[in-house]
Amino acid sequence: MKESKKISFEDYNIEFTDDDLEGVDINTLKECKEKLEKAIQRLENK
Amino acid sequence: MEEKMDKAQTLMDKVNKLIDKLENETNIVKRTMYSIKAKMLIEKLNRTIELQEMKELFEQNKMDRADNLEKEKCELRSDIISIRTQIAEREKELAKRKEYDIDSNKFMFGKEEVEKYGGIDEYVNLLEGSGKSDQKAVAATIRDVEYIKSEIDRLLGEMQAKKDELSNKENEHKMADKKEHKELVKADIKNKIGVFSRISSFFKNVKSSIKESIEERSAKKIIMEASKEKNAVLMDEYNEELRKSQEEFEKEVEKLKEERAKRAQEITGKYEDKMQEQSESRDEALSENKKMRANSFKEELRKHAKEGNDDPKNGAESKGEEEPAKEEQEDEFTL
Repeated sequence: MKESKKISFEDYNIEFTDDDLEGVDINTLKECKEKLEKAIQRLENK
Repeated sequence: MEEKMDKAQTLMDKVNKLIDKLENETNIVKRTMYSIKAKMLIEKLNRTIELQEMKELFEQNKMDRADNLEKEKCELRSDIISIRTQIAEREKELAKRKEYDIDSNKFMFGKEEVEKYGGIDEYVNLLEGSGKSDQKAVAATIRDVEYIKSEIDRLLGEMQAKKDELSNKENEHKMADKKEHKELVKADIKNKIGVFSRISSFFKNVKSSIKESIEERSAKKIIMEASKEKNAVLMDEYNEELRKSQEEFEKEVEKLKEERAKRAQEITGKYEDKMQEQSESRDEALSENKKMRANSFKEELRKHAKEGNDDPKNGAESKGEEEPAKEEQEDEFTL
């Protein structure tokens, strides 16, 4: 269960845990989401 | 507050770094895998946003409920105070009456006497019907006291109801808070476990698919190698068979050649014998013919010689000239 509590991008040395998102204001969360969505869209259109 | 801002900045930096890495990723497999993970992260962010909105709504509802409760509590408390005041006033009125003892909450006249007349109402009716003004006044006082007492009881009832209502309102508020908090906790757990378990199960599936694929590939490889080995063995066997067949064929060809030569020899020998025989018989015939012709010529010569011997003039010349002719004839036949 512990291993599943994070999203790891091993080769980039980046990982996201619950703790990273907890307590962050809603506007920052929305901004991060939008940025990622746009990046994914760009990657899919490549 | 500062810590919250730091966390927000850290998260934003991480997201920017991830986007930068993803956009510069050249390995298509890695890019696809990490894009899927990034989508999971989007979902996680989405759920966290939803949860936060839910929390905010919960907090708002909780505050609204608390405000409403507080207002209701104030009203109820005010009502209760008002009722208490009314009760106090009634009690004061009772206290004014000498016929009533406020401390013991009892009339000052004998209980036994009242019961004797069949209760307070009957007793008051009796006093009023007596025609005596003092007894009538007592009856009026008793009625007032009864009324005030009933009013006090009503007010006490109302006050109790208000108190109960207040208690109920507090309980309801607590229950509503508890229920909403439960839902919030559920959503929080769903948010924490749901996405990650989906991610976990997704990657478990991916891992197992890759594992299966690898196993399948290695199995295929083994089969291919076995097949190759089998093919090599078959090829060896085929070559060996081919070599043997070739050898047998060559042997057969040699045999046939020998047979052919033998038969050719036989046929040749057979015809040679016949030709020899024919040649011999022809030679014999020729020799016989030659002999016969020579004999006939000799006979002719003898005849001529005999005739010459009968004529003496031509005897010597004829003899000398005839000898070379004889030789010529012999040579001719010999040839």
